[in-house]
Amino acid sequence: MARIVVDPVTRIEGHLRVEAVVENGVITDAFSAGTMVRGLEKILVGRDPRDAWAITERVCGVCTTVHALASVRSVEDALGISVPPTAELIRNIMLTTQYVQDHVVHFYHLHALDWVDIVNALKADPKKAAELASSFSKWDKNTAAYFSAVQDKIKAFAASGLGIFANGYWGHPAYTLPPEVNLIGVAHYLDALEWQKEVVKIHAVFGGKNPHPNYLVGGVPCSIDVDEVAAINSERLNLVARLISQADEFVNQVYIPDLLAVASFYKDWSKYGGGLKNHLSYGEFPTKGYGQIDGFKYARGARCWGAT
Amino acid sequence: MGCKGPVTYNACSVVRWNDGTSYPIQSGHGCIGCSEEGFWDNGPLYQHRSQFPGFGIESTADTIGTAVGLTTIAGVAAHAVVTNIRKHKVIAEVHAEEQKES
Repeated sequence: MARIVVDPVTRIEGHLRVEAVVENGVITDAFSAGTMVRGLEKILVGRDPRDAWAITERVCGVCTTVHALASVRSVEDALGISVPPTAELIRNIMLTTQYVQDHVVHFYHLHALDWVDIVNALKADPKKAAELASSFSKWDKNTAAYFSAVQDKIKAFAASGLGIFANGYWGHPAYTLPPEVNLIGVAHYLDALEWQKEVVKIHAVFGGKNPHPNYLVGGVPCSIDVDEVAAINSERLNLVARLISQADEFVNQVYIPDLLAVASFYKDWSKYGGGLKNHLSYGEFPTKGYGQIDGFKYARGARCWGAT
Repeated sequence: MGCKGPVTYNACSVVRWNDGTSYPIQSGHGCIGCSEEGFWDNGPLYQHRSQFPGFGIESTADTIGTAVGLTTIAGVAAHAVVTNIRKHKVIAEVHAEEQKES
């Protein structure tokens, strides 16, 4: 019987420790612990409840915004406040922005390099990579010239020692992607880095900045007037609309096709772990106030597949 | 001088956030002084700031203004006196040299 300790677990924001008991190559027991006390509950004692969002939000700069929203909702629930419909829409736009940005950042920047071998991408044929990428997506960068330029960039990067990626397991046999898919993965890792800083401008428009946009108990701080220079005007709303359509394109032409392409080469991995047996969701994106769960766009509920 | 007067120092209104997209005041929210050291303990965010850290507990904007004004007047007066003394010395030296020459 062996006990394996992984501490810290990376690929997440914060500090996590996992211990696993292994018997004959099978994990028979496992323990996980969050090892850093944030103490926000203690920090908030005795403060003005209207300030709580600003402190709570700062628990994490990657999943920024969501903790502030949870905080203002809690205070509004305690005080019996319901927010105006326009404020609800703006909060939904801000939350959706975070929801989409966080999925992309999580896939590419937190764990893609567990599947994508940067160094192996140097062996790819850029022309074949372009043909392959075009077969599953309509992204306008699916050209041989583009993939060739990315490959040159990786070549220079590898020659300089790979920077912060120097200690990766490059060339490990567990990497099963062909060189062309590795090249596509690395190219989109860099594209996603550019895109994610654009889409969060939606937070800057409505909340002044990202990370940690401003929230307000009772509604949102911004005022809307399409002709007023100092308000959320038509120029601001056009910027938001443009960023939303860019996000739509990036998710549907880059992120989801890449996710499916990478997954198709790691089907064996579906055998590991217990799988999704129980699922609990509080629901999200209210349309009739946060108290009216029948108005949620994502329904609330719990589900059990084969109880154990 | 930042968005919250003499207690914040960031250039948010000039540089702005996220490639110059916006900043808290432009989006409609008051400045919470988030770049200042220990800003979370610099008082409630939604109360009018009648007391600034570093000044007297009961100081209001008016008395601070008066104090700054008086200090300026005192400074101008002190400068005038010092200049006068220095000039006296220069005048005396020039006089002495003239007397030597003659």
